[in-house]
Amino acid sequence: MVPEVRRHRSWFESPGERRAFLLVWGGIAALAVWYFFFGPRAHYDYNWRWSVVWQQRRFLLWGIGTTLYIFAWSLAFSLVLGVFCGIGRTSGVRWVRALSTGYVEIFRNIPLLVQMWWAYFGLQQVVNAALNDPFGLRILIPSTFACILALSLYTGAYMGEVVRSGIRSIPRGQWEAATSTGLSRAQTWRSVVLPQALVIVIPPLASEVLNIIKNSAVAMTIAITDLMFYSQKIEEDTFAGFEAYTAGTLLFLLLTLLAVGAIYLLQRLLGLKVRTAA
Amino acid sequence: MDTFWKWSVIPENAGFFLGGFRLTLTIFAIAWIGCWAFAVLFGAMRHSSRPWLRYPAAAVVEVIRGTPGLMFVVWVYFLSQPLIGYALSPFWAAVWALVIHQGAYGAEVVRAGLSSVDRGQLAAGYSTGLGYVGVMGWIVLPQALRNMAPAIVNRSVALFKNTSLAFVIGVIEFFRAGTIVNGRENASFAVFTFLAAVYFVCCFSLSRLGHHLGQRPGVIEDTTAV
Amino acid sequence: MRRLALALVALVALAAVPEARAADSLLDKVQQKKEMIVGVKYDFPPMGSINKDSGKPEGFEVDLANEIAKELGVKATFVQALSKTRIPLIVNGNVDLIVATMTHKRDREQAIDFTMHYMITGQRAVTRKDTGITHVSQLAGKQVASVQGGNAGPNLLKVQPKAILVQFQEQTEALLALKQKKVDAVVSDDVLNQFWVKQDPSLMLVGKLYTIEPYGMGVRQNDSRWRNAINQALMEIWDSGRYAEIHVKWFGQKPEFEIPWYPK
Repeated sequence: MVPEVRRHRSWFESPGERRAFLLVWGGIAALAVWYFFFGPRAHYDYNWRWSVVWQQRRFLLWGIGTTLYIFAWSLAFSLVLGVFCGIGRTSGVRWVRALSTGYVEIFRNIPLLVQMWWAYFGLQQVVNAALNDPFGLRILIPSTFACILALSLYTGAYMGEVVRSGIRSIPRGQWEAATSTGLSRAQTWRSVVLPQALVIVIPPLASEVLNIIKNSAVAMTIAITDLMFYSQKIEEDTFAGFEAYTAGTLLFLLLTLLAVGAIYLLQRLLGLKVRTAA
Repeated sequence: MDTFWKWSVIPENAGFFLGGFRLTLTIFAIAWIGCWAFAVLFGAMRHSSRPWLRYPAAAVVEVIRGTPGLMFVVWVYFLSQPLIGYALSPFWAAVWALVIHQGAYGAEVVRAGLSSVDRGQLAAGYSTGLGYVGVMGWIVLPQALRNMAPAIVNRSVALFKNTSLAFVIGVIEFFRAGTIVNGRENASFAVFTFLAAVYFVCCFSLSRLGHHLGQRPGVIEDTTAV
Repeated sequence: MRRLALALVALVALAAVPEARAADSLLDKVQQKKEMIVGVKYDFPPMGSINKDSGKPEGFEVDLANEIAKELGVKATFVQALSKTRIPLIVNGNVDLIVATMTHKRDREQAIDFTMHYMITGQRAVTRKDTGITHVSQLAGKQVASVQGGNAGPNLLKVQPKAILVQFQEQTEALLALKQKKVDAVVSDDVLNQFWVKQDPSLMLVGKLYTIEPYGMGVRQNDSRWRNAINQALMEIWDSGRYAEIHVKWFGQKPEFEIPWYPK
């Protein structure tokens, strides 16, 4: 047995590189510190008021609550939509394939903002004209419903693409082996293809899940009081813009980190090999 | 609620919509150049074998990718004066925000593209006597670009869609033109269906190009929903 | 290595070059650039809105700002100011002056300074005729639209704590929500309410005004020279009768309000 030689991977391949690193990054960091605290920008009179933002933390918590609520529902719907769409796109039936392809192409090529506003204002007008006015009803489309609808349809289209690529990566040999052992088409899907396909596509699916959280910030524009809304509200009330936005950004990052952690845990619990996103 | 469809609102305000669309195209064009410049820089840094380039670039890219685009637009606009001493106009704040935000996603595309070229090619290139520049210019870049092409197109489509985010800071681009007309005329269905149709036509044609370019082996996938 | 060190020294030297200090008055900066950046509303006819055909901002406040710019000998460039972005725009230096239906409030003085008042109005709710709401007390438990950042929403909660606020980014969306029956009332400044009711006969005003809103222009804090310049320009505009002209143009009647004028 040849003893394994462990190559010592050091950070720098030569002393010159270490000096270069220290000079470049250290210089940039020192410049930033000096610029903000001692240099010409310093007497811009910017007092750092982190404590004021801390006092308003309950707003941030409310915001996180709303964002998580939207996230949970959109996740559920878009996963379901994505799986069905992915199956539909690889189906043998022509009209199913056409329908799924149409869905994916339409909802991937329209900005989420347009979809959300359409769902909130446009759909309301349709409902008003078709149901409310003729029959005297009062069916309202609340903003959270519109947001979840738009987010689910939008993300579902992307997830459909991801699931489709996963299904297509299953070798044809598996299909043939399944039919030869007497499994029906539905059974093949359920027991052979889908479990493998879904596991394969966990990394890109995970990044789509993170995208739901980030895309939900747009909901602020249709009167949803999510994290983005409350970051701006804190800014209005305390006039501490930089601190409020930093808090909001950090919380968004925290949420994405939690989602990544949850997916990691899920993979562990299911006994799968943990795959990280590309 | 006289007529349900109110499609006449569209031709009545055609000039307004056209102005907004022109602005969207302008933002898209300028941001596209900046975005890929940023992406090439950070993508190359992330691909580098030197850890002291790779890790800081990775940190920057990951932080930017973890933030919502809307947040970025607002950040850049309001904090331009305190941070860089110059108050950006809404147009330029939107452009820079898009450059940085989409550039971070583009950096991933560039990195994947550079990695998609087989290591053996580099070795072969060096063995024929080409220097670093020669290997990069003649062997790596052409192949990397061919592999990246559909992902580049996909990113560009995403950039086009994200130009609509500029509306929160008052840029009267296409989406904003739509909301202004909508507010004035109360013709939500007509206006937003029209907006959706126009965006669809533009993005779909772009993505068809990407699909066409992607029909080759070795191509990298980039279908993220931001 | 040496080149890197030299580049860094050059960078540091550049940063140390004295620039236009933030402590200088905006008046000098504006007169030097011959341009004044003004934040106005785009969703608040007749004070500030976007012209249908030209796509440019127009309105009472836009004209007033243009007159002030003429007095100072500069050109005015307009930028949108939402209710919630008005103060950050001034504080962060994105604009030089805010003329955006901003009420002069004592707590707002923590962040910015106000010029003299140029108009007084109040706040009231607007509703559809078919809701039958005639008094603010009937708004308990109902959904009421307002704009995020303005004080119309909080003021309503003071007189009617049981109303449910739905906060939009702009007035046009709040009005649209009312027309689409998503909300039962909209609260806003009366200047806009009157415009809406005149334009759409299916809307009606609810009760009386329940606040007083003196509008002041917003300027950066601790910049007396700039604030004085704006105040004096306003007084010149008042003296010469141009204020009355603009008022008649946009409101169809002579102003009942008098600028708190003082002599030279």
